[in-house]
Order: sequence, then structure tokens, then C-alpha cells
Amino acid sequence: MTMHPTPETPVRAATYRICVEGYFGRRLRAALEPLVACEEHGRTVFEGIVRDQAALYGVLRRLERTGCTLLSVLKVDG
Amino acid sequence: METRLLATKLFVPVTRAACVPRLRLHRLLERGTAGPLTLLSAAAGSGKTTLVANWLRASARPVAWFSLDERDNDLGRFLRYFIAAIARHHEGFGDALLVDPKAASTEDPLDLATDLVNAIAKLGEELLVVLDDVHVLDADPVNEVMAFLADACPPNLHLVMTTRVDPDLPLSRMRARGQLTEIRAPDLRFTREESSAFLGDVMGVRLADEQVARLESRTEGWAVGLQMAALSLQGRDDAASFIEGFAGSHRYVLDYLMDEVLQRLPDGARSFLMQTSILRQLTAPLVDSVTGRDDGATMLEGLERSNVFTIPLDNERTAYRYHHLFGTLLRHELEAAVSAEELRALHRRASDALESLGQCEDAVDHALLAEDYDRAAGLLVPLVMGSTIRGESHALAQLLARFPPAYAHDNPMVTLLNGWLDYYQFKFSALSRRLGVLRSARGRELSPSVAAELELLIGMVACEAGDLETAAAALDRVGPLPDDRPYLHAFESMHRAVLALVEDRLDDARAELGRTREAALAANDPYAVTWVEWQFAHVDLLRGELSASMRAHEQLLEEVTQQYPVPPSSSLVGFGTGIYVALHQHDLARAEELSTMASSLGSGLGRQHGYVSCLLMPRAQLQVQAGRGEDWQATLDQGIRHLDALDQMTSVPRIEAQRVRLAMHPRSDVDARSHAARWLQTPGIRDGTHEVYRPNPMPGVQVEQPRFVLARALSTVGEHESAREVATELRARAKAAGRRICEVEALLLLAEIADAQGQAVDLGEAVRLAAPQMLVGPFLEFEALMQFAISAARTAGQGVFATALSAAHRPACTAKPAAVVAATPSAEPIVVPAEALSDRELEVLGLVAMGMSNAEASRKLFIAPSTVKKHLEHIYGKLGVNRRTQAVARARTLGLIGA
Repeated sequence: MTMHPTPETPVRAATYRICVEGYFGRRLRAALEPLVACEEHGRTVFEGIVRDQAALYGVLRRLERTGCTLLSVLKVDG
Repeated sequence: METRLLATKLFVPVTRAACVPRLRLHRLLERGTAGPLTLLSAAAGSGKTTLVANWLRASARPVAWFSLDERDNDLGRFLRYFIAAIARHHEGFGDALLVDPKAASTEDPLDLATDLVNAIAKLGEELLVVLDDVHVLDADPVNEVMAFLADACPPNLHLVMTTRVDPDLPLSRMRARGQLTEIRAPDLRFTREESSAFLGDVMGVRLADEQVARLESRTEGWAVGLQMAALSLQGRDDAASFIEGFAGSHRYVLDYLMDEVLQRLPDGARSFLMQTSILRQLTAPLVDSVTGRDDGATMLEGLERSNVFTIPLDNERTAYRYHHLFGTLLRHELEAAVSAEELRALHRRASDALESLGQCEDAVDHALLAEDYDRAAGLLVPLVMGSTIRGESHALAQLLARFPPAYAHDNPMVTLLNGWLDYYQFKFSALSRRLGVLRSARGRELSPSVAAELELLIGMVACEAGDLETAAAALDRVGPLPDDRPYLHAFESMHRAVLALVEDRLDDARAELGRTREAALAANDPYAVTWVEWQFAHVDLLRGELSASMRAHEQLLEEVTQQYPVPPSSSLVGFGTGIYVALHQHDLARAEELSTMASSLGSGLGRQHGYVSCLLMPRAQLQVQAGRGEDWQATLDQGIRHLDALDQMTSVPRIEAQRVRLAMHPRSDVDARSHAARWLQTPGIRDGTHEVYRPNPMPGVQVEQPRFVLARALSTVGEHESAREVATELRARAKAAGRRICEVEALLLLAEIADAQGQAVDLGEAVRLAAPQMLVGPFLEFEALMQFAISAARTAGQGVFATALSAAHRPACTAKPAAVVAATPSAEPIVVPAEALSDRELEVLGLVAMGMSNAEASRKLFIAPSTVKKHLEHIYGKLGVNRRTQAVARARTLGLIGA
């Protein structure tokens, strides 16, 4: 599935999985709501439905502001 | 959107006296000043700002520091701060730039950037500019300007940028050319020695070497991580077990340490930090209002003393901010700890306090966060005019976009706010739609003042579109406007004045102009005041009161040039008027002077459609009247291209009418008859239905010009009876309206027709009207009648006027020689250039011939605008000309460039 849809194919809400280094406490998890966090092998995986690309970039920007290390962004369904 | 600049944005952040010496990085920074750009690009909390501030303190270098925030995405605001930062060391720097702040929103950003680069180059001295937090910039115009600054960087300018995200600059190209010095995350990482020095000397935490090593490796030498770890360790007996726990945890470094730091703070301090984290800047009165406590000053001092991420923003320590990353974490903590209602209450208190401190823009921000939309809209109303006048519509648009769509759609106040924004961004169709929706909204009664403001905007939009009927009807419906917003009153009477002018009601126009002046003074809008004064001079011109008009003009010009190095755009009308007055008095030197002055004003005026009617049309007339064989048609073509670029093509027929008029001028070098005949064949010209006859509220427009051209064209092609009919009507209307110049022109035309029909020529009345004001210009358009005019003046005892007429008279112009009639402009002697043009010069000339400005050509050729200018100077020298139009004409004649 492409991450760069053309304007003719408007993106519908999709589930994304965002992986960052380290475990997150309630404070930072709350900041990324409504994505759900789970921890594995020293990483935190945030997963949930993101409305569109603008919302996705918003999430990434919030992550950027916390200074954490971004490992991967994946689109899960669709 | 506030007028005053926040001085705290221009201070180099105060750093602690004790700091880790990072000489390797200082050396890098030092070396970087040899090139145009040093970029510090790394995540938040890497110590970028501290490094630059410490380096500057150690090197004692003068610097223009500019801490950016999101609102600097407004180009006008960005440039104001940028210039102010430089002006702290160079008094008066940039005074000549941006005198018309509106330009920032309408101008090509690159033209503004070019002016800025030139001004910096002119300083001569080395200049270091630090842009802190460049990642907040995401608006295209600002980024374009930044890229231009980095690219066309004059040798004396050096930029240092700190950012969390690589900026939108051609970094790889600059890297390849060795123009970029970079300090990135791995460089900023604290080494073992630096970590040790930081923990021990700065934070006062003494640790064993292997403990430092563990912390350094766990935090990866990240400055903010080390600082938090140190805060968690201060005064702890069990350092070893803390470090073990921390190093053994998989938790995200900051998240772990934040909990430690917060836990160790007293309750009072913790809640203070959380509550005040919503503020952009912390001052004692402001934090006290938000917390409801009275210990703000002590708390802020204490936090700074204990190194708790509190950064003083001035030397007096009256304003602070939290370290960005720490602030973000605190806000998350706050959001997780309090209810939405409590959070809104905090924002509401912040909004109230900011309003009373006069920081209205921030007050709006917090009102929106408090979801108190009525309050936000109410706070915005008085801000709108100032911010749009300063060209800071971006900030306004950002705030307006934050109202929920449903609220924005239903709330008339927000609709009108958006409407003003559209108006200043020239989005007239969007504005019309918006106003239409508001007006047709049913089931809702608009308050009288909202209804009045709505009708006013409808009238203004219609006026802009040239729909005078709708404009007049809407302005008639404007009810009482609120007294506390005088600019609305200024707009109202200003547009009534424009309508009166196009409807030929000169007395009404004067009365409305008087009211506009009062309101503009009350609104403290210097642009509107200047506009009014120039309009008065314009009305005097229409009435043929040349000396009054000139007096007013000179006085205004003096005031304006004293106030601004470059006159504001509202003086366009004034220059147009001044040139016409000089032409009517046949003072060619003065006309030339004004015209040159006006066109050299450059970018500030260029983007307006008034530029054409107020500058280029009189300029073409000057070129003809001076009779020096200049390419006046090229001037009109330039006007058309200009209007085309502005999508203002409705005004083009006026220019074509002017072309025909000047073609019929005895001093022009083209065939009058064929021009007149061709124009008369245009559908609608003869029967008066062509759009050229539609009253046009363009500044400086002479309402009856097309009717005059029609009459003279008919006379030129020999249709004397029809010509007489139109001219007679023209004269009657001019007389009734008190437009004396037009009346004289009509009388001259009637005399020309009589002469052509072999009837007696009587110029007694024309001379009687013209002599008192030494109105010579119109007689030159009818030079064949000059002998009649001179003797009529003598007979009437107007000896001085007769002398003036003879002085201006060129007997050769009484009839166009047959040779000229058939000739093309290439009849002028061919001059072979003294020296061949280089390929580059030909390239530049080719672009100039396409109508590009120096800035545009420079971009196209990837060279500095100053280089384009240099090329042009060489071209002028080689072709023996002194203007770009002449150069293009000469090059065409010589076949150097395509026709």
C-alpha cells in the first residue's frame, strides 16, 4: 500500500503502527491518544486509527516534540 | 499582530556563568563564520541554543539574535523582527525597507528579500545573524526568503540557524560547494569528559567515573537527559542505586527522569510548573494571575537557581520561558492530571491576564484554548485592522482558522473578520460568497452594527469589481457604524468619495474626503490620511486648479519623503497627479523628475493596479509631449503586461484609449488616422456600449477621457458632424461638473472641427479658462491651432499666457510630416554598438525584453540581482542608452534580440 496517495484517491482513515525507542509512561502515552501503546523489546508500539495524512503528520510532530527516537511508521490495514 | 516588537525575542538567551567548555564546537562555529551558513540541526534538548549563546558570550562578537516562534510565519512580521535584530547594532538599518508593511503580503517575497540583501551588503561590516528555532517556520513565503538569504548571501553576512528539523534550503548543493558548516546530533552529544564536567561543575553532582560513564551511555550524551539526571541526583544519598535503576530501565529517558524530577519537587512547585506550562512567556504578574498565587517572582527565581529548565529572556530576569522540551512534558503532565474544565479555566485566566497586560494576540490564543469563542472573536475585532495594515494577515488567518467550523459559519463577527482578511488578501470572490451567505442567513437578526459593517464590505467589494451600481446601493444601506472603530468610517467615506468622483460630483467628493480625513486621523491610519491628501490634490487637478494642486502635491511630497525614505503606496495617486499638473503646465523637467522618482520607488508600489493609471499612462504622455522620439508605446505595453500579471484586465481598454489619444497627439510619431480608424472599428466604441466607457473607480482616472478620444478619433477620420456632437456634449458635462481642463480640451476639439470644416476658429473661451492657471498642455495636443491660441491670448490681454504658449510651441508639430506618418520607430539613426554584447549580456537583455524585473532575471539566471544590474549598466554603456526600455528598443533595431 502506498504511503503517498495521489489527490485523486483521497485517503480514508487507516490504522497505523508507530514504533519508537524506549517505554513510555502515562504522560507521553496520554499525549499520543487515541493511539494505544504496547511495549516490546525495549520499544513502544503505538497503534490506532488515524483519520488522514494530516492527522498522521500531527502525531509525528507531537512525537518529535518529545525528542524521542522514531524507528518506523507502518500502515497496517487497507 | 501587535505593533510593538517583543524585545525578548531579540536577546541572546542568558546562560549560566558555569558552563561546559565545548571548545571543539566553538572552533567549528568560529570556522563556520567564513561561509554563509552554519546549521545546528538536532533534536530538542541537544543543547543547540546554549552552545551558540555560550560561544557568542566567549567570543564577545556582536550578533543579531532572533528567537523565532510560530507567528513569525508571517513574512511581514518575520522581516520586521529580522530587521530590528540587525538594527540593534546598526541604527537606522532597514528604515528604507518595508515602509509599506502591506507590501509584505502583496509583494513578491523575493523582491523584499532582494532589498534586504542589498541593504545588508551596503552595511559593509561583518554581520552575524542567529535564527533560533528555525523549525517553527513552515510558511512558503518565509521559507522562500530564507532560502534566498542563504543563497544570495552577501559576503559580509553570516547566518547561524538552530533547528530540530532540517530547513527547506538547498543543503546538499551548499554542502557540495563548501558553503555549509553543520553541527548535528553526534557533534552535540556530550563526551565522557564533557558529561563529567557538566554534572560536576555545572550541576554540582559529584560522581565516580564509572557512574558518569553509565549516565552518559544511558542518555547517549543528550544534554537534556544529563541535566534531568543531575536534577534527580541533587541532594540524594543513594546516587548509586538511582543510577542502577535508571540504567537498568527500558523506559524512555526523559519520561523516566521527568517522573524523578517532578517527584522530588515540593507540591507547590510541581503544581506551579504544571499550571504555568501553558504560557509562552513567564512573568511574575502573568504567572500569579494563572496560579492565583502571589509568589510568582520568587518561584521563577528559585527555579532558575536550581537549574530547573527555566531560561531567562532578559538580563533583568523579568521574563522567562521553560526549556521547550521540558515545557512540552509539563503540559502533557498537566493534561493528564487535571480535568478539561480545569484546563479551560487556566486558559481563561491566562487570557484575561494577557489582555490586561496588552498582549491581545496571546489573549486570543488562550481564549481559543479555553474554548471561549465569543471572547476570542471580541478580542480579535480591534486587532484586525492593525494586523492587516502591517501585512500580518497570516497570524490572523491562523487564529481565525482555529474557530470550530460550525461556530465560524454561524457567527457574524467571525464571518466579518474573515471578510476583512479576504479583502486584504485580494480574495474578492471568496469574500463575496462569504458576505452573500451572511446576508441571506435566515431566521436570524443581525445587530445593526454588524449589518452596517456587512453592507460596507459589500460596497467595497463591488467598488473593487467596478460594479458601481451595487456599490452605491450597498453604501446607501450602511447604517450607523460603531464609533469605536473609526477605520470603518474612513472606509465608508473613502468609498463614497470614489463613487462621487466617478459620478463627476466633485463637491460631494471633497466633502467625503474631508470626512475620510477626520476618520483616518481618529483611526491613526497614516496611509489613509496620505491617501486623502493626494485625493484632494487630484480633485484640484480635475477642476483645473493647477497651482493649488501643485502646492498640495509639493507639500505632501515633502512630508512623505521626510517621514519615509520611500513613499507609501497611497502616494501613487499623488505622483500621477503631480506628473499631470507638470504636463499641463508644460514643465517637462518637473514631470520627468516626478516620473523618475515614482518609478524608482520600486517594489513598494509596483504590485498595484494604480501603478498603471497613475504612473505609466502619464509617463507615456510625457514621452510624447517631450517629443524626443521615446518609445511611449512600450510604456503602455508595459502597463498592459502589468495588469495582466495582476489579473486586472478590465482596465486595459483605458490604456488602449490612451494609446489612440497619444497617437493623435501631433508630437507622437505614428499615424493618427489609422490608429483612430482601427479603434473606431472596435465593437461598442461608436455606440458607447464598450466597457471602456464604464465608470471605473481606478485611482487617478479621468472620467471623460474615452469620450474625448471618441470625439477626436471621429474628427481625425473626417466624421466631423458626429465628432461635434460628442464634443459638444462633453463640453456641457465638463462645464456642469466644473472640470475645467476637460472643458478647455473640448473647446479646442470643437475649434479643430470648425477649422477642418473651413469655419472660423474661436479660441477666446478656451484661452479665458486656461490663462489664469497657465494651462498650456491641452493646447499642445492641438498644436495646429497654436497661432490662433496665441493671438486669442494677446487679444484677451493675456500676454504672459501668450508667451508661455509660444515658448512651448514647436512649429514643426503643426502637421505631421508625411514621412513620419508612414514611418516605423526604426526610422531613428542606427547606432552600431561600440563593443559587442557578451553572451551573458544578451541573455540578460533577452529576459529584460520579456518584461522581467532584475530580481526575476536574477532568479532565472541563478545570479545575484546586483549582477543583473551590473550587466545592464554595461549594456546601457555599449548601446549608448540610459534606460531599459531604450536598451530593448535599440537592441531590437539592431537585430540583437527578436522583435
